[in-house]
Amino acid sequence: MDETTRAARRVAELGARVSGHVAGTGPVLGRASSSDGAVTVVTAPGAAPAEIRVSAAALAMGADALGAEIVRVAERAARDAAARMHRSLARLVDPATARALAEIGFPADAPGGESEDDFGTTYLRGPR
Amino acid sequence: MSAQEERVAAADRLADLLSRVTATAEHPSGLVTVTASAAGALRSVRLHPAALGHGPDAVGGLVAETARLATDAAVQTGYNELAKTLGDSMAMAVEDFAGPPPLHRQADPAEAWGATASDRPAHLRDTSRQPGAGDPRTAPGRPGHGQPAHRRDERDPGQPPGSRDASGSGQASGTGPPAPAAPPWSSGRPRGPRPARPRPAAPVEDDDDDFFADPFRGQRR
Repeated sequence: MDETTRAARRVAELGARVSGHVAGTGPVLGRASSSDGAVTVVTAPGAAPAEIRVSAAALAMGADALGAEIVRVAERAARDAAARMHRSLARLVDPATARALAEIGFPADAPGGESEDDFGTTYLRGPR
Repeated sequence: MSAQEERVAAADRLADLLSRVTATAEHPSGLVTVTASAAGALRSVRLHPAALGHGPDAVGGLVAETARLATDAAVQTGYNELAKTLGDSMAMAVEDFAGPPPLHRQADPAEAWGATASDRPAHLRDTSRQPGAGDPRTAPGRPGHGQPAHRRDERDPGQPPGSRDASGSGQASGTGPPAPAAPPWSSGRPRGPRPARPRPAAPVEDDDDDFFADPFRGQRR
């Protein structure tokens, strides 16, 4: 058995553990919204936004400004999703793997702190 | 430099390359263009002013759908770079635990046309979505685009691109679930299941005339 096969097997085993965990807790999603609620983005870690909600008032921003706002909110939602995934998986993996998660873009905490987010501050919405 | 050192150096370059891979996709309606990384991070969202006239729900749906197209295109580009750098066997090993590349998951080739890699020449963007246009990703002189190097020769020329779904989950024409109601931006562009392209009939192997004309034909193969 070569190293690639062993790595694939370890990944498969970890994937099975994570799948079992997610099956019990529901998918890990990150959320962020504009301070005025114009744009809300829901995204899974390492994926394109799953849902983008735009308020009717946001259309008055104009096409360019609305596009830029979507990018900004999506970036925060992605950071939130990464942090949630790290917290969710940290209890399933060894410390070295947890550090590797941060190295590949899923740090434990969203950098800069998120104050505008109106989601995810309750236990019920957090990863379990 | 030994082969092992070359491979290590190539892997180092690959990590840097994959971290910078982005792709740009335009929604089939032309109302939204999104540039995204392979991790789904949006780099830019360009909205056509006419998109705002479809209402807030439609705008959100347009951007989300286009973002998925751009992300899939970036992931596909990453797979292609992986195959070019590490070789086909290593790329296939990565596929084993990372899943098939987006091009193999797409049942409708029209969806593949909507996504364009950022390094794709601009003149190919429009022609790629025209019905009947050739596949620019597999065109001569474009190695490593669209179809991964290690999958490039697997396609049956009698089948449309994307019909060889490695996972078997591709929608067969006429046998899939009914198409969902068309969103308002898709008017004038039907995207339902396409009729199957007729395939040439398989040669008849039990032709008695051929057998008696040459009874030892099979043994010479």
